[in-house]
Amino acid sequence: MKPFIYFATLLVFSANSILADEKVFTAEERAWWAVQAVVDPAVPSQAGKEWARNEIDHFIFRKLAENHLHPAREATPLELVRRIYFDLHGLPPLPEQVDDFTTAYEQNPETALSELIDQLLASPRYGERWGQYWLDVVRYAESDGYRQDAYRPGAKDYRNYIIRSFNDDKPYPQFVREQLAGDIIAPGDPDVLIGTSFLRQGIYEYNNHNVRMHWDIIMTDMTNVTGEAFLGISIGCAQCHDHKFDPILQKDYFALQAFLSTTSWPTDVPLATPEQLAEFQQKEAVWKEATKEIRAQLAELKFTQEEAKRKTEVKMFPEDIQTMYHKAGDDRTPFEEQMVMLVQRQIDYQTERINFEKSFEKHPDKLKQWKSLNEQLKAFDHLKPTPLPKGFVATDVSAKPVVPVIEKRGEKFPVEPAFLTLLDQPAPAIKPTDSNSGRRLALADWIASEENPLSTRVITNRIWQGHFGTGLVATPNDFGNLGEAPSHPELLDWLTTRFVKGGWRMKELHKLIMMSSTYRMTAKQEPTSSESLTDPGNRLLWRFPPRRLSSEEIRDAMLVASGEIRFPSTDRPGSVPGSSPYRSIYVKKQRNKPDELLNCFDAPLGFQSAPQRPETTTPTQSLLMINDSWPLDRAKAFAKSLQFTESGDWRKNIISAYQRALGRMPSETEIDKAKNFIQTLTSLRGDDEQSIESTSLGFRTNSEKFKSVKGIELGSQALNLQRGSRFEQLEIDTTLGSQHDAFTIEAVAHLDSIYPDGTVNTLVSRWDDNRNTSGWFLCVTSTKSRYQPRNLLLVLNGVDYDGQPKYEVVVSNLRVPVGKPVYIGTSVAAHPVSKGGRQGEVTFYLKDLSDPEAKMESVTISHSVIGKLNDSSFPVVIGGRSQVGHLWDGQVSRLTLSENQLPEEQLLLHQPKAGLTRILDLDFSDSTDRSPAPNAGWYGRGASDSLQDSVTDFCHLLFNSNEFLYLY
Amino acid sequence: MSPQNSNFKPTRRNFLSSAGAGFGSVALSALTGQNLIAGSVSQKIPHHFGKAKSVIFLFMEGGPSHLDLFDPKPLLRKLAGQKLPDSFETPVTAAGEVYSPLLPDKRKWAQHGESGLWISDWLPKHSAIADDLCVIRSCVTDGINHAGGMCQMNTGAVFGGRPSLGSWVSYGLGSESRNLPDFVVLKDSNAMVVNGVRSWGSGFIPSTHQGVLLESNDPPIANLNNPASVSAEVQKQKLAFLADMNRDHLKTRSSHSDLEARIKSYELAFRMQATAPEAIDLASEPESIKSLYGLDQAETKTYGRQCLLARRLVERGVRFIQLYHGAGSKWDSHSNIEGNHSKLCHQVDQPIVGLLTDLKQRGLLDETLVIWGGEFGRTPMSEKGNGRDHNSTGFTMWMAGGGVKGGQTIGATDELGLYATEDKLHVHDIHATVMALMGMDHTKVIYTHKGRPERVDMNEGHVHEGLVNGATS
Repeated sequence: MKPFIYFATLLVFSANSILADEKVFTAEERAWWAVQAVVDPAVPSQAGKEWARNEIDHFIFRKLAENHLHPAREATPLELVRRIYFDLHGLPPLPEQVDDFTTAYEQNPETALSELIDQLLASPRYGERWGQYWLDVVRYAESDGYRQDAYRPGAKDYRNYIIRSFNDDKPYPQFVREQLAGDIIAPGDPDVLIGTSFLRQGIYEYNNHNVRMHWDIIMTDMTNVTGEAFLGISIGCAQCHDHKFDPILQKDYFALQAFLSTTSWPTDVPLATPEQLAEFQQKEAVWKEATKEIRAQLAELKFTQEEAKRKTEVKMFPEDIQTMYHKAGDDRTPFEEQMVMLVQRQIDYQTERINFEKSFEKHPDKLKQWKSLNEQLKAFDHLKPTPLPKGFVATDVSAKPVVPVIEKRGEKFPVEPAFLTLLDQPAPAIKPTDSNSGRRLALADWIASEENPLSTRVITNRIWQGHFGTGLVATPNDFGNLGEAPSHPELLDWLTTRFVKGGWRMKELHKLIMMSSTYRMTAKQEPTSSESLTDPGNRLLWRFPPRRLSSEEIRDAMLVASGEIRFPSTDRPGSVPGSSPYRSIYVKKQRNKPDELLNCFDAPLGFQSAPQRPETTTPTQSLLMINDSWPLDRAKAFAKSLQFTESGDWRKNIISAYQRALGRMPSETEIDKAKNFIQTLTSLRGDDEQSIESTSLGFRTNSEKFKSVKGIELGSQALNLQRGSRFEQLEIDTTLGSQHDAFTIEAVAHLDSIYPDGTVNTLVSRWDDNRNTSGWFLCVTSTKSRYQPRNLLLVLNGVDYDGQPKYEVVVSNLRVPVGKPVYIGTSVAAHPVSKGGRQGEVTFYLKDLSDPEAKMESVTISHSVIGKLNDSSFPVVIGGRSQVGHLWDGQVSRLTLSENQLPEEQLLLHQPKAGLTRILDLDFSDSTDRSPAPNAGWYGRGASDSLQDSVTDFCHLLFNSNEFLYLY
Repeated sequence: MSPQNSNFKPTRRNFLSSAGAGFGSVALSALTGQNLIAGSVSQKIPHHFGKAKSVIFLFMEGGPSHLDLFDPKPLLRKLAGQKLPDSFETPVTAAGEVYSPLLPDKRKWAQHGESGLWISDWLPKHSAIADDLCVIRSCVTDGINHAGGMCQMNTGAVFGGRPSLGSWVSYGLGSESRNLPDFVVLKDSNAMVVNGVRSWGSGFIPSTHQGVLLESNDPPIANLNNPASVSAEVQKQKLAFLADMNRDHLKTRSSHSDLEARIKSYELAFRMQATAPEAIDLASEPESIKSLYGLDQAETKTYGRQCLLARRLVERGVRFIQLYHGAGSKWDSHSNIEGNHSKLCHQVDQPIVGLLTDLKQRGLLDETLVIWGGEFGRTPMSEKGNGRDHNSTGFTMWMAGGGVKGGQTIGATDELGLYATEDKLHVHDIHATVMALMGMDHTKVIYTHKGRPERVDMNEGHVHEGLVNGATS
């Protein structure tokens, strides 16, 4: 299939010349525009004299005039300021930033613009925006990408490095050298070495035993991305045959790969300065010396298992690979070293995961020794230095190169590193070091050279594309014949020349572009008939191109409007979940589990270089924006900060909402419409509350979740508790008082979900979370609880035998199923249960009501709270704790509260006939949203107030609007 | 039938004016500024191709054993316990089970139907549909592990980033349903399919064509339900206000078709909210149909429900439906293949037979292509004594309906079922053939990405006409 294999040794004759001889380029091929030297063209300074502000404009105007087109009018300061903030920071301007700019612009447009651009370029937000473009190009992600998709903790260091590089305005040649050859130019500088993480961005499969094929895939991918990212050539086409459309030979492909093919993916290179490393090693030596004996004994204990594991693991690889593995290191060729590196990584993965404790189960002596040695080792932990961060970086496998080979007509030709044959350039000067082939540096130097016609134009074009959405070459990764020819070839060369001569500084190029009249054109101009006929795609720029916001911009803009956005306080931050308020570039990027919102709006997955993003429009996006809780929660925070009140100044509030979300004043009509909308919704919600006929939100029919329940009398409805609504909790005044030191709670309930964190799900409570007041609550634990998830707990806060305040968690260890109807019973005695005793007790009962075969589980546990448990000034709360959250998510179909500790035969499940004094017995048959139960009232923080809900809806719609999603 | 894309040669002009042309179809692929180059298809494809309007892909995730289901190997029993003979080329397998003893099958084999198709006793009900199946015994893939295998079977490459087959079908044929996505995925448990959502991703083609996961819980599609604090009436008011705002905005920007497309996407989202729950509500299905699909049996009801939903989605114009069985590699039987496969086969036997029977009785089978298979097969060599390793070099898939000639076997593996020897169909060929069966010339359905004309088959696939014409004709 693949027409080559790797040869471990160099053959004596050079294949490059043999293969190259076969190809004679035609004149047409030699005339390929992208390989011609960059010239410094004359500026058509007469073109558009009146309109032009700098040279860019002359080039643009000339093309427009040639096509009988005219530049659009100038954008207003409002349009400009929004464009510039999104362009340089990926964030909308705050209302005060808009005001500052428009005021300054009225005084002096040129100074205002120049100062704003300088100010934004100097902000750390700039690197967070422009770094993203590069991360897309290098297919950055933070996971392995295959089935296991393991997280790569070191990947974020590369992201931070990219952001810093942009913020520091690092000259491009340095940027290139660091990424392709940081290990050669400054192996001791972690801030340079991390650049080589570029070579690690490919995907990796932790258990692929076909290491030869796996490495081939890795190398192919590395070669393709290097060609596309730095040279703008779709060299991948030439892997199997000479490029069909471009003058690129198959040999050129492998000659490019030959620069990279010696690369190694080490797992043990620390990301540290020599000083940090020395300090670490010194400390570690002390620890090693102190623990020498213990570690030797441990190693001896582990040896048999590890050896066995290693042997089984090695046998899984093809035979020839096993042979390589068993060779002495010195006998291996560099290619064999690469294979062994991959094998070793898999073996390490397996041996690191041996469960020694388990394997010693049948050898109590060994187990004892194992435990004791580990204990002893732990005693020296204070001497052990904190491990240095592991670098997600690349090096070379050896100074001797790995040479790719092309197979042609049964013969094998090794390929030496070389540049495109078409360019007729001398062979690269390669200087190996002691441990490095030096080949990647030769490639980096060539790419970073001022004379390189491809790399210089490619990066200039990427910067132009960042500002205008489309590059002067519309196919930024392909300057070949399958790509598009430049729309303004002279302008591309003129800009390239300026960029290179100016020291390859991106910030200068940004400013040059942004100060032009071209950049200042409005996007808000409809095409005339001649424009839509001549240039419907706006390639000649008769107006500024409208665009949709990128996924990161959409997410970040919501966070800015809601006032919640956070920025890291260091330039080396970690990664965060998508639910966090940090801006999107810091959201953890898992290839197989992308963030829903970012993925939905076209963020790339990180498998291939993504030089441009599609701007799709899908119903999935609409559903997410209008129904998902994340945008709605942002709208809620937005609405809250607007501080609407019934008697307040709505006009002012609406203006503020428009300014924060859309960066402009609303019109009078818009203000009226917004007012009407909020009023309509508020009264609609009020009607809902008042109308008994309307769909009940606080209750659901029992046929939904309690259909399977048998043996307990239920009413027709269940209380429906929904987090984030006004039906979060039901508060009930009862006669349960301080005289009741024993009582029984029983419920038939359904838990829809538990929290992803440690927050508990409260079924019933009577407490305000204040340790100084009496109270209790019955709850189920969540995912990250220290008591394990779904554990039924009763928490008591009263006094102990000595009358001292006592807080105690009574743990049942009964697990409440999620998504099923259950019976939960708890009988509490807050008095000594035996004569002269000091302890009370709680008995828990649990039964899965979805399964007729299920048995009732019960457990009795002692505790030391024996008094002051009920404070009659608090209501009993179903579904949460007195206004402090920890909410139940689901339904309660029946709830009773009885005096005394009921014996089991008197529980609801056994359908007791009579003689019981119930303090409370609710089956919700006659309940409505307005009158849920006698002496009861709703509490919901989320949306207790219909005005607030309706303002939230209004803010939510601003986020959903086209004006928010598009810069247009 | 010629696919609507085949004559679509976009210019910037019709791109700009195509705003109202409907959703999820050609208009949108054009909206991204990407060009779809496709010539006239009809003369390139034999006329008997191209009957299928929809595909149902029954995906047995983890790799079902062809040696125990559709490809009997008497020699395997003879050589039981011995090593792979030297005459066989040494394969590379996932767990390195190259020299392990050969594991004989324990099945009872029989020929079924008028055609005499070989099917083992692990799928006893399949006898009834034997004459509908075209069994392809010579499938080949490059992926030796689940991630690579799944990725290739779904997208053509072992390496991520390419569009999935369902996305290509959606892109090539466009939408028939105005209210549902073109490409729908169902799985049999909460476990995630290997490679996650990118298994039905759209890669580099617009995400309009990506698969939508239909969950069995509520809501069936992500974000289909209104938020808790928003009643139906409030939602209606909100959407009306949004449409009003967007129309005001559009007034001075009508040249930009994305804006109108987004207005329509909210309308579609709203219709989906109404339609999707109905599409998946089985209440209206008679008991006889339910039991035909095995919904009345505990073991078969899960996959039976998926199969029945698939038929309902086909009826509603969904183009490509993928039904994962054993989501998260449950068919992966490195040990105890007896226990594993007898359970899983039983779970799918009746539902699959029910699906084919039902499609047939409704006259839908001719225009619905049903595909069965996993990401690879299993080795004749044993693993851990009583299991089998992954086999990427020869395995079985079958197709039925959509114009495929049933009751025939295509290709063959060697005497031990390790390598495909005759009429090899690489995954690329399978994809090319599926496209052909849907009336598309796979060499003409092209998406230009980074300057390269990309195809479903990575320029390597060939249509196997034997599926329609018969293996020997």
